[in-house]
Amino acid sequence: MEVSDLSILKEYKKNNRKGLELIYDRYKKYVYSIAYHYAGNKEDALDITQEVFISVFKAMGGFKEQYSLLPWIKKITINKCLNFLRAKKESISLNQTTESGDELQNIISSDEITESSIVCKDTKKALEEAISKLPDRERMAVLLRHMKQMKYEDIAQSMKLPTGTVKTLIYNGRKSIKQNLISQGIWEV
Amino acid sequence: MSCNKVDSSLLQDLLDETIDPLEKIFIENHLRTCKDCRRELSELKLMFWDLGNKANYEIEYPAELDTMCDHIIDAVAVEESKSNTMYFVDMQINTMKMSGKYLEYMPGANYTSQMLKKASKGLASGVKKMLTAK
Repeated sequence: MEVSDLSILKEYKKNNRKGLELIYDRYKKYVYSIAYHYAGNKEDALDITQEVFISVFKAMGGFKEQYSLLPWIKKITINKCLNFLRAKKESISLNQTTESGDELQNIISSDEITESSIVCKDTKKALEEAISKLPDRERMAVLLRHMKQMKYEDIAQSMKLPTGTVKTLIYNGRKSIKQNLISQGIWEV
Repeated sequence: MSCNKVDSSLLQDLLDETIDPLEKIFIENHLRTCKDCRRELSELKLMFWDLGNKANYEIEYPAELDTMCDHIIDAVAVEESKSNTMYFVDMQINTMKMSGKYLEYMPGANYTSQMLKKASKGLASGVKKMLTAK
């Protein structure tokens, strides 16, 4: 937050590489945090972050100074996230089943530990799990609303959806999260 | 679960502070008498609290995030230089076209295509004649 977008753009005109580095430093955490909560793991989040910045850097030449960078980068991030998992699901669905199979095996083999771990599970993990189980678009909409405190209209614009659709996505998302948290026993203690 | 008399999205709107003023009055009145909705509302409140709690979104940023920058900039730079090669190839093609341009100004060059057409027509009728002659 030390440097403003305008001074970054000025720097970019003087020295491309330095400018791009400044943009990266300013927005990397923002992009990564959305990607991480959306994808649910470090590797995918890093891949998405990389894709986002490649697109941003490629298009920087045509970026006009009077606009601010954040909404633009936000849009690209959301797009890349939604497309990333779509592409991934299509290509390595087999891997995913083995992954969840492994997890299942672990749970079955140590049921005592699982029970206590469910009881002691903290809210943060429970919430992460509940969010990770939402369908892609619901997850993205809920994250933008609650993690990034965006307005419904802004979410709609960023996701290229009508506001009504965004509201429905968020309602349904919250409903599933609530059910999931109840089933995880978070609030019963 | 909330009761059937009320759309459960209204309870979410109430907590979200996006509720219509009239609906707010309606739902507040309803909550006084409906135990199910009060329970639903308190569950939703807990969830909103958890969802809105920034500590729940705190994550560790991996070291790769810092080191990745150079790699990304280099990758973009390489692609840009590739497009420079394309520009060079286009230029070469243009040069070759230009070097053949003089052919257009050679005497009789414009008629070459017409002459070729006529010649081929003559050729066709000639062949026909030869065939019928047999």
